[in-house]
Amino acid sequence: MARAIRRYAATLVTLSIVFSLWEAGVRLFHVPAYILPPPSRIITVFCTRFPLLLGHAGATLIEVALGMLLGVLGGFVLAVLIFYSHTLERALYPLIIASQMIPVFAIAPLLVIWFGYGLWPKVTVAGLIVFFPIVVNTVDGLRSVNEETIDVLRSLNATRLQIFTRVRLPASLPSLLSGLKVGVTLSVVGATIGEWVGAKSGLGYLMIQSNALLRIDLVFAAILMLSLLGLLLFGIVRIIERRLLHWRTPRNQKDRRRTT
Amino acid sequence: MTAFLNVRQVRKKFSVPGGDLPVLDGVSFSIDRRGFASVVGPSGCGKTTLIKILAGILQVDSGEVAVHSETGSLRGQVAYMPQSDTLLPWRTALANALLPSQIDRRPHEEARHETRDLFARFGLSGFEDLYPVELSGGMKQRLALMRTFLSQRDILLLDEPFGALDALTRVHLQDWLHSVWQEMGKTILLVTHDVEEALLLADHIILLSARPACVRNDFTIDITRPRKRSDASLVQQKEELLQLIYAEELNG
Repeated sequence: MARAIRRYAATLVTLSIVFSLWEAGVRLFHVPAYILPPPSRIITVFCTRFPLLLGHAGATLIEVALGMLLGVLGGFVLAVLIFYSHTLERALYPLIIASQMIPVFAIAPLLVIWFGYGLWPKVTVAGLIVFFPIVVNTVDGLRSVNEETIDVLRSLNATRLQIFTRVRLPASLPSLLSGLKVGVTLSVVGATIGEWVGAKSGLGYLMIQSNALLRIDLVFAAILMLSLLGLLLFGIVRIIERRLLHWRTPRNQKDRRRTT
Repeated sequence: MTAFLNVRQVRKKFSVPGGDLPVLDGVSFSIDRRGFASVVGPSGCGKTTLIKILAGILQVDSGEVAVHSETGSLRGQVAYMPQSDTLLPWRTALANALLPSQIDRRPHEEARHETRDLFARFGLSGFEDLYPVELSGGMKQRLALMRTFLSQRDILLLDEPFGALDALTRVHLQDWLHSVWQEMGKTILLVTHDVEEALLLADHIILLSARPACVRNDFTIDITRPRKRSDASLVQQKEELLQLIYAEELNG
């Protein structure tokens, strides 16, 4: 704990300064709470309405988790197909990259028309956002293997499946996981946008509702909750990454790495 | 002794923009069982192409390679150690050494015991659970060699195994490879650009011409083992060989 405080001390100082200035500014210039509530009020609302926020956060979390699961699975399978089939690579890869020119948020209203107001439009938006970095990064990872390592296995008469499971798959993990780190924060945004367009629960829904009622303090409390949710998911991916990729850092140097 | 590995009239060319690039132009030689042959030649002459053909990674255009009298691809019959670092960074030293036994689907416990026992012989005991990133260059090469020895193939193909090491480590590992080879009874083909290394270790040295390569000469080295770098006859043969390689380089 002491270590964590030391590590994030600078960040905490920056946050305190920003919030102090904000608090002072709002009070000094008598900004009405329906325009910009002071941080103290946001914290109070966050605490008093915590059960409400938690419930909506749960709904958003389920959407994000399902979206990530589908996006990662789909992206991974497609990356493997693209890697092994030149035909599929030529047929799909340019289209996948071109599809990134379409903002996923722009098709969110369409998804509501197609899938209704329930869970699936949000899952789809979150999943589509994760999908792209996973495909691109996994293809790169599968290609990153030293060809001579493959030669060693081939001279031993290894099967293609053995080469995949023993070499290519583990070699692709580092880039797959960096794709996941990019994807995870974006997918929270994706699910929220999905909720803005039409939903019955979730933090995005809560924001839209509170905004309409000029409960700006609750909007900010929802934003705070959303940030915490993103941080939580990012932290989980970081832990998975450290577990799976611990071989990248020599153990006698691990303490030095902590400065980054 | 009878020829164990036979290479007969092997030709190979690559397609490059603007036509064909002939690399091997009728290479022939043979190695006895438990023999140690070294291939030397001017840089870029096709040594790595030759070793990749023997490893079964590249196909010949014509000619043949055979173990005993079985012709065809040597894939699965030889253990190949390429020039670059091919250890799997996500596996511990022990798990890296176990890779060939996993490819061959040998019983895990049995292979594990065998491998653990060999760590001392390869000067790696105590390092079983370290990852490659935690090992020195010399240790990594020893581990890669150990993995090659552990593949239970009779023929080992080593492509410049000590090329990337500092001089002192290289000298140390050359002596060590010599003793391991004598102990374990393998047939070794060593590709090297280091003439002294070839003279220290090999029964015979196959000198390739500049590209397209053919066998310019096949010298039997009969200096008594273990050989010393300072041995007068070795020093003299080293000079002669270097002269021949320079001459080839000028021709090429």
